[in-house]
Amino acid sequence: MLASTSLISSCENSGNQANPDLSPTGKPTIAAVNYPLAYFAERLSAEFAEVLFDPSPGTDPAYWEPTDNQVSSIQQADLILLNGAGYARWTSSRTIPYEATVITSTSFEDAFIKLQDGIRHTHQRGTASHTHEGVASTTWLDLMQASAQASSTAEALIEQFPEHSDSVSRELESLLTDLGDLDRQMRTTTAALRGADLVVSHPVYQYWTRAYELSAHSLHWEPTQELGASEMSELAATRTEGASARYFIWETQPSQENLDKIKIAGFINIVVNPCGGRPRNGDFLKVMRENISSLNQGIPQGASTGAVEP
Amino acid sequence: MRSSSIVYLSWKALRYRPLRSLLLIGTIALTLYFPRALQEFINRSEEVLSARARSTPLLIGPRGSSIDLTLNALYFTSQELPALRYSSYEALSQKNYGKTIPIYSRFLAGQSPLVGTSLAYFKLRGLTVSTGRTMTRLGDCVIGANLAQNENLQPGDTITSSPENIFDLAGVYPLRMRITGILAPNRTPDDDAIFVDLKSAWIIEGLAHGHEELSRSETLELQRDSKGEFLRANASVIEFNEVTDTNVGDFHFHGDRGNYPLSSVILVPHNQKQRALALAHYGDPVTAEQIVIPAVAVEQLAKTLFATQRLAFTAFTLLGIAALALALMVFLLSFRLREREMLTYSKIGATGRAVACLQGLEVLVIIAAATILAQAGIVLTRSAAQDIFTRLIS
Repeated sequence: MLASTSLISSCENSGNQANPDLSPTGKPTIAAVNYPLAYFAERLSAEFAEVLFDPSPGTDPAYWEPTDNQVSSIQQADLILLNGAGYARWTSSRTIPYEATVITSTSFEDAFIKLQDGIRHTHQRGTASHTHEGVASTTWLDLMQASAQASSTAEALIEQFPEHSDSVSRELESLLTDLGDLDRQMRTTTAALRGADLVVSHPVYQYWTRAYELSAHSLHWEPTQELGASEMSELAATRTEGASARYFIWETQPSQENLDKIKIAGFINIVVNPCGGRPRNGDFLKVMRENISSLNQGIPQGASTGAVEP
Repeated sequence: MRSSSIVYLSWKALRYRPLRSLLLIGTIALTLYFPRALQEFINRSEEVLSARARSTPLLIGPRGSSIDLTLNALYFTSQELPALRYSSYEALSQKNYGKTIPIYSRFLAGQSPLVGTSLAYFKLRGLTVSTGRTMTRLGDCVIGANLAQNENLQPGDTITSSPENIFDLAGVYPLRMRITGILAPNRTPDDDAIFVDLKSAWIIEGLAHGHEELSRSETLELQRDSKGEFLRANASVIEFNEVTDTNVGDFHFHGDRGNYPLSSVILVPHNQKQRALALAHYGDPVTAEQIVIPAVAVEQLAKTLFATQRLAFTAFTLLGIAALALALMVFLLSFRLREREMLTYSKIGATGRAVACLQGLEVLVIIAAATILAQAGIVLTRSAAQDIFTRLIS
């Protein structure tokens, strides 16, 4: 079932629209705010469109700030795929054409996870107080939600380029199969993590933990930052008595020093890359398979050692 | 008497009383000019109104006067109707009735209307940026050609929005906007307008703002209300009145965006089916919004203009008859005063026909000069009618 499209503006049927803005290669352009959406657009549009995704590998698209020239390029796109859930704040402070914009997570917006870490405040006496709270935005780590976003992308492509509806539908079927397989593998793999002490290095795994029935304590660490005494105390405070095993989830491969410190603290290191940005090697599916592989390698260590004491 | 002599004597007679001649020419010219000029002005105005209305297929807005809604959307006149909610725009966008272009035309910068819209507006109106580039972020604007010329503005300059009420000292700060581009002239109200992203218009409205981080303890006071404790930023917290590359990320929106205001939405159906569906949906009196066909609303306005024209035309005709009668009387009195002169011409051998020709030529020269003057005025009026009408209606 195709997901409903944009909250702000649905993409209009351009069957009668001649002369869409074309890229230098003569193909229409689809802009995406993160790599998963860019990957879906690349898979679904196959050969007929160029996908514009400017953040370079290593850049987190959620915090990317485009230059004026980059915004101008995005404005020329025939379709702009937004993640929704407040992802990529630049989209609310930059001018992008409303009518070309599609929010791919609209179909499950009722299931967004609210974050309650804002400060309630007011600016002027007598005005209403408010909180800058938001929702978790790494929606695609629940691979079923990723499927819904892929479907929404396909629907938008079919509306914008009806002449390619057959190929888009065909590619969507293949993509949904791949994502469904990954979801099943992830579900099977993570089943062993239920009930374990799970600490994640960054607050980006909310949908992943919910989808696969996990419970995680979230920190705000970078993989390469130096872990001092305060960080290790913070980590120690997350320990649950009687846990069968303790796992520490990193966003990307951390430094060897950090791996060692976490191991000494009694946790098993696992890398689950959210893949928000374009990977240096491979594609979205490959990164997700690597995540499953990393979990498959790490989980047995916990099972064999039981609760590891430092 | 030779023809050349008649011409010479007529010319001398007209030059002998220049004030009388000029007054007669002016009176007759104005008598001829006014009815025709009014007709030209009304005709041209109707053409201008119709052209802009035809390029705006459908308009959706709050219920009320369709003419007010149309003039606000097309000519950026003051917003007389209540605001349309952004959620209505979202609902319309999801109905697949065609391309939707939001318009929020409520604020001014000086005397120039400030229009919050999307980039699709420029495509609809065939507007191109002649200098600079289009807006790319909050606080950016592109301005019309006339405004740029009159105020000597260039890309890189700034322009500041005007507060709605100068006595509202606690109200929203005026927003200093960065001019990123100048539009090519298209001889419509767009030439005098300032265009911003809809979100920038909401900053001016006070629905979004940017301020320094509320992390310093000296900027905050702990307060309590029915929902518990909250922090109130004191007066030392600086709200930004200009969006810059540094603070653009600090601007944020408050409240439910569905309640944010718009003036109207231009709907451009891609086919007759979409148009019919939209008309049917919003034609239902149960819906909170109305749909207007601008061409029809303008036709109603034109009918009013025509009624006014008929009234003015009748008045000018009556005045014209009176003025011509006065001119005739001036001629007759003038001839009476010159009876001795005519008698002298007769005595020195001029025939009665030559004397009549002499007098007739004087009248003819005055009428010809007045006609040429009136026609020149009509041509000027015709060429300036579009600009005059645009300025009058805006």
